[in-house]
Amino acid sequence: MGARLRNSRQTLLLLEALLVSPAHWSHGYALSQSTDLASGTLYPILMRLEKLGWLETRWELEPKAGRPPRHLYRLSGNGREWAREELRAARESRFYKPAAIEAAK
Amino acid sequence: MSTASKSIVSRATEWSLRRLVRLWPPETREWAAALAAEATEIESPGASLCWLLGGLMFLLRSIASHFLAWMRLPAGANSPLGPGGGDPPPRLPRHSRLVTASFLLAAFALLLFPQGREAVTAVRASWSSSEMSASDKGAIEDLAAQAVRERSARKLAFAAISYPEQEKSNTWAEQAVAMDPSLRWIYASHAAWGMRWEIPESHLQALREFDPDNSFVYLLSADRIYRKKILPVYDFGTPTRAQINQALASDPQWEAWMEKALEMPRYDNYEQKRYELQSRIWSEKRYLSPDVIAQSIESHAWPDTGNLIALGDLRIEYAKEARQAGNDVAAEFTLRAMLTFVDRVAASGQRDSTIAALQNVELKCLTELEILYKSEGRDQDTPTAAEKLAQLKKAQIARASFLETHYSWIASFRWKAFAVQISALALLFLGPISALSLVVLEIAVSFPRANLGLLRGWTCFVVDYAPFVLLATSVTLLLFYRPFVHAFETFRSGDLALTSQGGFVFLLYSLRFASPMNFEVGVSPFFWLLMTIALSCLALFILLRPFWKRRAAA
Repeated sequence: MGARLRNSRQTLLLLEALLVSPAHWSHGYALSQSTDLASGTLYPILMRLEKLGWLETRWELEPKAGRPPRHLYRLSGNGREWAREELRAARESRFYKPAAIEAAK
Repeated sequence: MSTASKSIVSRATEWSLRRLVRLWPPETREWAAALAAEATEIESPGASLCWLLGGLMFLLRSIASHFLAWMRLPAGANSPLGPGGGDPPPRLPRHSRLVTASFLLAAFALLLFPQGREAVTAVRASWSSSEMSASDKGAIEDLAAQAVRERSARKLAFAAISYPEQEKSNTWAEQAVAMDPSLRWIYASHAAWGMRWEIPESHLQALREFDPDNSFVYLLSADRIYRKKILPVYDFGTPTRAQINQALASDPQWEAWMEKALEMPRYDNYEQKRYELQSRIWSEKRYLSPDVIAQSIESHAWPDTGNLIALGDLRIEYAKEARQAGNDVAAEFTLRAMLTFVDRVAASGQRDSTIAALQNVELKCLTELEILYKSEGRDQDTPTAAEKLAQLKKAQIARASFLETHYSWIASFRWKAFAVQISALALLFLGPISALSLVVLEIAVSFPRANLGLLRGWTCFVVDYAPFVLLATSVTLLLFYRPFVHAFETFRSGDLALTSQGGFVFLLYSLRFASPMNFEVGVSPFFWLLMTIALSCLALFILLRPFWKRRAAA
């Protein structure tokens, strides 16, 4: 595997969002809203996750009339396992505070 | 939400992103389309704008990472498989674009440093076949324009003494003097241009009014007559000294100016003032080439040594006549006045030819004085004259020894100048050939079916080695130019003795003497012929090498 992923705070936020309902396909804008990540940050992370095989992507089959088809994302089987592990490790470290905790503040 | 009810900002974002998708590198274009599709779902204008800005950031990152990936491949390759993926894949250079570009950039970056820029300016000026290169002329014109804008008399004065066209030079000199009358001395320093131009009488008049007790201004006035009267005589063969003296003695105005020069208590040829101006301006405007400085030294007025010799001869003649008429007091006074004048002129720091002429006059005067003392039986005074003669001979030997050391130092710059010129020529050869080879390889990517044949081998060979040689050549150029920089710094610091300036002109001109455009110095055409043959052999080797390799492989 050529590419590697840096477990930045932004990546962890995205993984957390994707793990909320892992079987469900999410849109880019919805992910951006739930993680507060700008599109310029979100898409490069999505790209890398896909490259590593941890993210499944597909285009909308039946787009709304007059709209272009949207891209959909969810974690792959391996991706889910890896993401849970990464989040667990991150929670144990004092540098990462999950979005839920941050939101409660 | 319908499209009609959307804000202008949201619609503009959608429209912009749809168009921006085309700019994305192919490998990430699908992601760009995904980002653009999301824009249709965003309602708030603020959020739309943020989405667009994020998209732009994503575009920049994609382009940067695409560029980096492209740079990691060798020139002429668009993917790790090679250009076009033919069978067998065409040959590519061994190094990545990153390595090639690093060498090329380093080579050119070295030339952008102050020392590198100085070297390039100096070499470029030396390649001009005319008296002064167009770039040097342009630099002086720019300096003059700047001086007029800033009302800087000094800068305008420098432009006047450096510029090789009389009309402009005169205008600038007059403007500079109008701004600062204390600069009137430049009338003696700008218009002469190796005495090829005539100093206007109005300028000589201004000089005499400006500095009435300075012998030099009267010597210049006499010199104007000397040049008009004597120089045309040389067209019909070299006149004898007696003919010259006779021609001058018959002109009362010449003799009047020379007598005035003899009477005045001071002798200032304004060389020190000119040097101060040059060193200050060259320190400020380091981009000016050494040629400009050399020519501004050469433009300084130097009265022909024939004036001094003729005056000396006439004075000795008067002394002889006075002695023969029994008027020893007048004879001694005439000779002593001439000796005092000669000492004063010599003390002002003169060029070698003038010093030689002055010593010649002094020797003749002293010999005549010795005869006078002996004829008078003034034995106590005779040793004084003999001592002075001995001192003079000693001074002549010391001067000869100084000149030998000084000129051998200057001569040492000759081969360094050749090394600089060869390096510059190699840069001129390798720079374009490297660029051309890179362009050929990169264009070939767009034509995968085109068979470049031997050209591909040549271009790959050039791209493999030329950038490295180019860097090495830039370093060599700077190393060999370093001694010139030190010598020029001495000049700029104002510490160079005026007596050394005659020789320093040769140093300033040494790059021009070694220039491939110079066909006046004996060694140069032969040397450059050898260089041309050597470079042609190298070019032939580069062209034929892939052919030999292919034959050997077959």
